Amino acid sequence: MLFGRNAQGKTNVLEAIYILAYGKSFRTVVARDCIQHGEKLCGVEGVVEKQSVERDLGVAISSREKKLMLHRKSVGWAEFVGNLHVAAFTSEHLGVIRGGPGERRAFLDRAMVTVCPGHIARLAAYTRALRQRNKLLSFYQRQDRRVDDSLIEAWEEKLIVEGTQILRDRARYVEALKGRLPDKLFGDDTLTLQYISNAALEPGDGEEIEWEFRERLSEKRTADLRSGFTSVGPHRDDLKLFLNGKPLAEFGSAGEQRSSLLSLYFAQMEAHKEVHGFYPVFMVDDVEAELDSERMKRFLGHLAQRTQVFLTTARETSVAEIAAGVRRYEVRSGTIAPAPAEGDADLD
Amino acid sequence: MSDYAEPISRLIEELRKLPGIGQKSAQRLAYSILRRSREDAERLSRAILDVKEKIRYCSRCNNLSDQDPCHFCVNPNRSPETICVVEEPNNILSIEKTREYHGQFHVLHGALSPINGIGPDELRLKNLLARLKEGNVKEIIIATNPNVEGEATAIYLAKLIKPLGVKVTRIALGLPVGSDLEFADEVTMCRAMEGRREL
Ligand SMILES: [Zn+2]
Repeated sequence: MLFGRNAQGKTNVLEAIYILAYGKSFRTVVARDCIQHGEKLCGVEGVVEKQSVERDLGVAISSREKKLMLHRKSVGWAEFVGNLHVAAFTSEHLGVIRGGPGERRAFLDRAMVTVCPGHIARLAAYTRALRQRNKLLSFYQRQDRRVDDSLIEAWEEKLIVEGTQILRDRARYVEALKGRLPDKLFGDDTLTLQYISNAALEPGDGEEIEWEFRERLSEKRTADLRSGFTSVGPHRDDLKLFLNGKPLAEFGSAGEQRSSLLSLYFAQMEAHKEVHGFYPVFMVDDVEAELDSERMKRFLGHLAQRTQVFLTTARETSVAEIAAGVRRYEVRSGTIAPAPAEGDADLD
Repeated sequence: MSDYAEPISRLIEELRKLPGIGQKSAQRLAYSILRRSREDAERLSRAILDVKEKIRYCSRCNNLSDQDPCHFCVNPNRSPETICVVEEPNNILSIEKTREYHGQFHVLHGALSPINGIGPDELRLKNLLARLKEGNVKEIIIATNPNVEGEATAIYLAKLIKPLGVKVTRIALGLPVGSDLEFADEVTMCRAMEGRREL
């Protein structure tokens, strides 16, 4: 548990751990935004111990480049990622429930990085092909030229190949999450999930999806040529969340939305464990803002048996009351110091 | 602005325009040229002018060459039955290094990319279709880069060429996805050629 007043650097500690895991921050997509104003570079180093094997990880970011290091040697992303797995829970993630479909797709894609190798590369290829097809559509929209169908199809082919796999993997992953939602962790509420795609109404096996996606793309080609935009495909998909049968975003209370999101994270951790044999490290930023004390007690109890947890809080005492045996650190002006445990000044 | 004598700063400026050359490298190169003999400098400047004056595109295959048709196109030991289509002239070198391929080449000088304003008209395709109409070609091997643009180009070419009754194959992508042929080593390139599949 990291406690301290606001703007002392608590979240930075979580951010640093996250960067060691994925080579990038959860706060910004632009790596150089991690660098302190007026400085030229920033770096994070850490030792990860997994099944008694230690690994030295490091990330160095300058305005020009990012270096990923394993045992002090520069390595590629594929070799770097996978040495440390982290699930981060911050208030921004509530967008998964309250925000648009894009945020839910991003949640799935992020979670799938560690269980579905190749997913990120396929997404990148799909997105590239999508941008190219859209550009071609808007070219035809602006210029009065004869439409070359085989040219549009050349880009669609790439969308279909990558998109089919993306769609199938996401649908499968949602199925895996469904089966791993914690039972009755937050009362009697039942959370249900449904992956929705306009490219394949009932995502079955790969061949069916491919066939349907191809059909829908060519059906919509004329409309797409008019709008200059690709209307069918996994870039339009959504993950629907229901609590006791009702749409969570509209009908759930703030507390229900937070605990549902946590349940989703727990399911993600179970899915991760199934593949890797261990749980990812869990982080919660500003835990009091996220949970009332009853939910927090259940939440910490659930996690403590499974994995290492990092929490930040502005109010030191309340967490300490709930969970005994928590190691407490105070963060003040960017430095971290161990705080003596309650009523045990001799510790360490 | 410059602390250098005018001819030196002019040379540095020119060198800096080359890809991969920054201010420091440009200075180092300029001083290195300055220290060398007059003959060295003349050889360098002549070499630069020669590539501009003597290198042309081959009218059959669009390869860069000092003769037209280029030495690939006139070599009687190379089979006229297969044409390997690549994006850039330097891709030919990667394939030649394998010493496994003995057919013809065709250079597109790019790949389809609407984002960059490159459509079929911007690629050098007309003379490829003309070569196919001569009737000797039995197989077209498409060796565009294994990235999104290279793949789409391959699919488009297949759609264009197959109706002409010519077999179209794509090199097998043992190559890392998203990479350029330029960086493929010989072994990977050999395997890619052997394992090509029909489009
Ligand atoms: Zn030639």
